Order: sequence, then structure tokens, then C-alpha cells
Amino acid sequence: MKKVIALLLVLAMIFSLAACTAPAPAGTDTGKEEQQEAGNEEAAEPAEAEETGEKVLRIAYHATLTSLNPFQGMSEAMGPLGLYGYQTLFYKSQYVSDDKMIGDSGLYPGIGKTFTKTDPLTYDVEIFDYVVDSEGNKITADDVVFSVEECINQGNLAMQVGAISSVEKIDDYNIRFHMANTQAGAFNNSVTQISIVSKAAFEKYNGFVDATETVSTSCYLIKNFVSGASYEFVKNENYWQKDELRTMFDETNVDRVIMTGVVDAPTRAGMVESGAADWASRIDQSQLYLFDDTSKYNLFAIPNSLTYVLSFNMGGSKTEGGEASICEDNQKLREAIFTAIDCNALVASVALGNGAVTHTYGNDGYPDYLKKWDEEYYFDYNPDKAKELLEEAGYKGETITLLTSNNTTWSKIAEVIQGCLIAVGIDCKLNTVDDAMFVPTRNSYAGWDVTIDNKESGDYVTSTFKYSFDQDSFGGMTQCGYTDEDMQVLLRAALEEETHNAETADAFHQYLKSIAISRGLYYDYYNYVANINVKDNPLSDKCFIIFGHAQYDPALFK
Amino acid sequence: MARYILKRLLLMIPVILGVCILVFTIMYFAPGDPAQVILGGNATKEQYAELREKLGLNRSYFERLFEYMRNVFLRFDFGTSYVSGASVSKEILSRFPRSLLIAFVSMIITLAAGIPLGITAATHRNKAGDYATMLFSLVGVSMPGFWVGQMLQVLFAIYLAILPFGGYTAGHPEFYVLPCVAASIGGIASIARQTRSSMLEVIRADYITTARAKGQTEHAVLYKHALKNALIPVITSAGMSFGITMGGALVIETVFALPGLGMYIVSGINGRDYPVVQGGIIFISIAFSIVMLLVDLVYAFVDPRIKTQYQGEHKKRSKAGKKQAAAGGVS
Repeated sequence: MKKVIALLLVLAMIFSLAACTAPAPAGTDTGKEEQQEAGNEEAAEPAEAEETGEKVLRIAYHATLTSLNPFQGMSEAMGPLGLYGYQTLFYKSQYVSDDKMIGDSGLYPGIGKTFTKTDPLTYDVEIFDYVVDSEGNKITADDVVFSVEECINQGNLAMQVGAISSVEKIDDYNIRFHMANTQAGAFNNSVTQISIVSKAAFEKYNGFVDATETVSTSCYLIKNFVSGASYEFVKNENYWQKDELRTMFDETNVDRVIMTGVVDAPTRAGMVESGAADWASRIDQSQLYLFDDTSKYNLFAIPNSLTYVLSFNMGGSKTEGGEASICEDNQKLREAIFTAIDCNALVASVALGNGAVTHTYGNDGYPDYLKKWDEEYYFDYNPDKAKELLEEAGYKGETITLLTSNNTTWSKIAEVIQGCLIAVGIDCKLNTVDDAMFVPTRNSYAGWDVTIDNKESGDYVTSTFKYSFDQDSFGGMTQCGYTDEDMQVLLRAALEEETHNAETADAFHQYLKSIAISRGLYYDYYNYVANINVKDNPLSDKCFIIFGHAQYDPALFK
Repeated sequence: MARYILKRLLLMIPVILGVCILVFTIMYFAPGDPAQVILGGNATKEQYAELREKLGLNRSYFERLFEYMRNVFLRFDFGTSYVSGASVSKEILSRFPRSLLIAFVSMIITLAAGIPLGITAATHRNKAGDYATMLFSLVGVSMPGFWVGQMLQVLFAIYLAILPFGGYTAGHPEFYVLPCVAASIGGIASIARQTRSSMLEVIRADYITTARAKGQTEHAVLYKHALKNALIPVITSAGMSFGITMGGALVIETVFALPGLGMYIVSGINGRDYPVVQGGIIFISIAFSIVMLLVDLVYAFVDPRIKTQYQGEHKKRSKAGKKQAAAGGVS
């Protein structure tokens, strides 16, 4: 019996190991597991690449992809998928530029050749008439209409494509977009978010939800996708775009890129340190000391478009059975609280010095950010003034409840703010809720007086204002319950394409400051670490490396 | 024995049904809205409402439970992920072999190292061997898995550069080496302690003294007579530990960036991706039940008393059946 058990154990082990190594045919919609397991066998073989002279880059990325569905919900993992896994009509990047931009629109050609704004709500897009995907399907206006409609129908990208009202085919290579609003940047955002795929391929591969490779028009294709683990970008040898029309998004400076999804920041750092990866995204501030040796590593710190903000509960009295926050009708108290917060301390202790204090809802990475905001008064830290304001506010030691999510950064921010408030004599307690419970708690306007949040947009500072203060979007009040017609008029002026300019942006910013209902705190940096032979760090609008455009020392591939 | 296995398999049905209803109910009443998680905090109320409708979140508890149970038990379909749209069943089946492999290999390492260490400690009680083993066990039990994992990474991937730091590439078993070792350190320590205490109890028993008195060699006394009887609690502990690791050694998977079941379920919990959480937990409960059944069967092979008990029950039933038949014949 012992021998039988021993034999069974040995056999089970052999089968388990064999299950992970058995080769399987490439493909997309059947035998996903086997294909995933087997397909990647050819993946991490830089030694083989050395022999063939193939340029292979290995990236440790901070998010994992679990499907190749081009219209899945927006997540960090979508950065690479949207940039190289599929192709969009146009591209944009706030970090790099070249001379192929369409006018001064900020857009670069993708499948789309150019576009015309025919009226404030209508855009006509012309696509190249020779676009083909990797299976030879020709891309026409029908495919574009199909992709946009499929994206809208799936509903996962409602935030990104909500500005599109409808889309219609004009002829084989021209499409008309009807927009739902005239907000500045709405068209640019939408057409750079929606992947365009061939309807035939999409239907053949069941929406790519269980696929292990993409059928794409992009200059790279995804192969050997292993859900939650890794995949490869392989150069599309039959890329359709003519050489003279190629933009930085069409360049292919590496032949193959092995992407490993690693959610744990220290593990990403370790992979670069051990040489298992050439480039890693989002290295934690606390790990940066590992890369001090500038003869071995390049460190790129990119200002994060995400700004941490603090907002007051202004909606307690407006909710049924609700109770007004102590801060709702006391502007002096709100100003006292803002003035008591040392944002430099936040940068030093939460971002470990790897960030900067902000003076509005964003930073100078946004094209409409005004430099003068950096010079002006913005609730500058002044504990003495805060104490005076508290007296003027008639503050008598009431408890101020600070709402925060339980994620690490927010919790740290909350603790520093709590310390600052206690230092000036404000009784502050924390209400820490689970990440998934943060929005419902905030929207209940109960159990908190002031809350931490973070805001960003894909285009302008004014769009970040919209995500907090557009009373049309949040049932007649701002996200934190404030109601003010004058404010809404100023916001609309700053948002609308026709009136979006420095004056209107500044007017809203100044008004927001004057009523002291919300303020920006700080932003941190995204840290990218690369092998010294990766010479630069060009990023897409979603902060993913445009690796085809990046420059490499040939030593990297030896 | 076959009847016993069949009985246990049938008993698994209500257990799995219970788990299914329980998990569904917990997720249903858990605070947090998947639509909000998918769309983020900036979406409008209309956008939330639309997505909730599309995801079927507005339907009643019973409607959703009934449909879910029907899909799970009649079609083995755990649904599709709210976030990626991918099939949960396929995702689980693609990740499970990795978790299983880690559990299996680490269990072999654990038993191969833990049991001899425990025996050594027991037979050298209050001597250097015992102290050394128990010191190792204490350290092993006390060290958190993530720390052990990171230390192994630093040593083998950075300093010695002989094993990969992390990540996963199919067809390359070297990616499993460090995770399996890291997953087994705590187990070795715990099995060593368990074996030691169990052996200490057994080697004081009369039948061991008898065996020695009959002139059996010390090796035979320990491995033939004592160990078999000392193994029962060790098997229970090892079985539980195997089941838990198989369900996803989350820390190990995170540290080594290995996409197993644990990481999948936790990402589902954080994203309120109900189908992922429900599917993952139900699958683990099935796997765990099977492992526990196997553990019970191993008891029978190791402990003759249990085997006799199974056989005895069978004989009793046979006798009772014959008696009844005879009684029926008489009447």
C-alpha cells in the first residue's frame, strides 16, 4: 500500500508539472488555460533573443490584466492595452510631442487621419483608407461605428465616452460624432479612449474576453496572454501605416516586450534590481533608495495628475432627515481648518518628499494651469492665523469628523491633517471607512464634516473642477452638497469649449477659493525606474511608457 | 470503503449548497456598490443607475440567488467578471493549477522536512538536537510568510542571481521554487512541533516498551510502531494546511507576483466583483471538502483501527441485512 501511495504521489506531481508545460496551439477562444500556459513558453527567453539579435524589453507593470476585452472597465491595466494592444482613432500625450500633431488640437493620428468640427456638437472624422488589422480585415467606417456603439453598450467606460451622444457613418471612411455636451476636451478624450476593432474579428473571437492574443491594427500585437500574470507585445510586421506618416505612437524601437503584471511595489523594485525587468512603473517612494546608483539605473519622476483634495460637507442640511455639519454655515471655521493644514508636512511625511504642494485642483502638467496660482495666497499654512480664525468662527471645541478611505495614502494624509488640526486646538476625529464604502458614505452627507478625496482629469484642470463641482452632474448640488448658481455659471464658462480660457479658469478658481468649501493639498510623483540603458521615459496620456518611441542603448539587448 | 466515500461525497452537496447561499447572501448584503467601484467616484447618478441596471443589481435577492444557483449547479457557470467581462469559471480553472502546484510541492517539502525534524526532536528530548529543532520551529512559526519570501528573493535572486525574483512564465518551473520554499517554511516548523509532541506521547506508551522489550531495533520501534500512531494529528494538520494553501496562498502569490486563486479572489473583493468572489469561494469550498475527504481516507491507511472501524461498519450492515433477509424469509 505504501508503494501505491508513493507511486500515486509521484504521478500526481509529474502530471501537475506537465500541466504547466504542455504545448498547445496558439489561438484565441478555445482552451484558454492550455494556450495561456503554453503560449508563454517562448516568452521570457532573453537568451534566445540575444542569439537572434531580437530587441526584447522586459517591463514590470503595476497592474494586471485579466481580459483582452477592448471595452472593459477603465483600470490601470488598460494603459498598455489601449496604447498598443488595440488602436484608437487618435492619440494624445501631455508628456511628449512630435511634429505630426493635427494642427494644435493635441491629437495625433491613429486610425483617424484628421477631423473637422462642423458645429459645437458635431465632429466629422476621416480615417485612413488603407487600415487593416493583423488578420487582414480592412477597417472602415462601419467598424468605427460598431466599436463606438459596442463600447457605449457595454457601459464599462461610461465615464470616458459619456460625452458621445451618437455616431453615424457618412461614407466608407468618414464618420460623424454627435456629442452630448460642448465641454472642452470632451471630443479629444472620447476618441482617444475607444479602441477600434474590426467587427468581424470582434465577433469571431467572442469579444476577445477569453482571447490570448489580439487581432489589432496597432504596430504591436498582444501574444501569449496569461490572465493576471503576463503577456507580450510583438511587433506587427504588417503594420499598415506608411513610413512617412508614422507618429511617435507608431514607432517600433523594440521588437518584443514582455509585460509582467506585478501589483506589489517592492516586488517590482526587486525585479529591476535583480535584472528580471528593464523597466518598472510606480515604484514606491520608500523603495527609491535602492536605485541611487546612477551608473546602473535611470529614475524618472513624473508629476502625478492626481491631486489630493480636502472638501467640506455642505449637504447635510439638504438631505432628508439630515443634519447640517458644523462647518456648513461657518466659513471662518472652514478657512481656519484650511489654514491649519501644513501641506509641506504632507509632502514630507506621506509622499516622503516625492511630491509638491498644489495651489488648486491640479498642477502645471495640465495645459490650462495658470502659473500665477503658484504665487498667490492659497490657504497658506499659518497656525496663528488659524487660531484667530477659530476665535472669529466662535469655535467652542466641537468635534470635527474627518472622513477617509482606509487605503494607505489616504489614511496617512488623514493622520497628518488630524495632527495639524489638534495642534491649533481643533478636536478632530477620524472616520475611516473601507475603500468601497467611501463614496456611499460621502454621498450620505452624514457622519463627517470634512473629507479627503483625489481628483484628476484626462485633459484640463477645469475638468477636475467639473468632477467635484458640476451641480448638473450631482443632482443639483456639488459632489459635497454645495448649491450655488453663481458658481455653476462660472464653472460652465470654464468648461465650455467656446469660453474655456485663462480668464474663465481663473475666475472659477478664485471663486472657489473665496468660498472655502474645498482645496487642493498636494500631488505626488509617479516613479519609474529603468535600467541605465533605457534612455528616456516617454509616457502616454495614461502614463504608460510609449516603449516603441523610447530610446535604448544597444547594450540593453546584449 | 466505497460506501463511505460515496456517503462523504453526497454529504458534500448540502455543504456546497450552504456555502453557495451563504456567500451569495454575504455579498448581497455587503456594503459597497460594484457600479460605483467600476465607474469611480466622479460618475453621475444617471451613469450609476444605468450600470446597475445593466449588471442586474436592481433585481430582488431571491431572483438573483435563484439565477445564480441555477447557473452554478446546472451549467457550472460562475458568471462573468463585472470588471473584465471574462468568464469566472475559465479564470478559476486557469489559475487553480498554479495554486495547486504550490500547495502540493510545498506540502511535500513540509512533510519531508517537518516529520524527520519532529522525530529527531522527540528522540533527542532535552538534548542539542531537540533544542536546535525547536529553535528552528519557533523561528519558522514566528516569521511571517511575506518576510521569508522577501528574504529568499534577496538571497537567491539578487545576491546569488540563480532564481527569478518574481513573476510568472509558463514552462519555467524555476518561478515556482522560491514561492514553494517560502510557503513551506511555516509548515515545516509547525509540522515539526506537531510531530514532536505527538511522538513524545506515543513513545511513552506501553506497546512501545513492549516492542523494545521484544528486541526490536530502535529504528523499527520508531518508524514502524511509534510513527504510524503519531501521524494522525500530523495528517489532520497537514491536510488543513494543504487545503488552505490550495485556496490561494495570497501573501506568497503577492510577493512573488504569481497569479493564483488567492490574488484573484482578493482583487474581486476589493473591486466588489461579486461573481469573482462567489465563484472563487465556492470553488475553494469544493476543493477543500475533497481534500478533507482524502485526509480521512489517508487515516484509514495509516491507522488500522480506523480501517477496521470502516470494515466493521460494513460487516455489521451486511450481517444486519442477512438477518433481515432471513427474518423476512421465515415470516
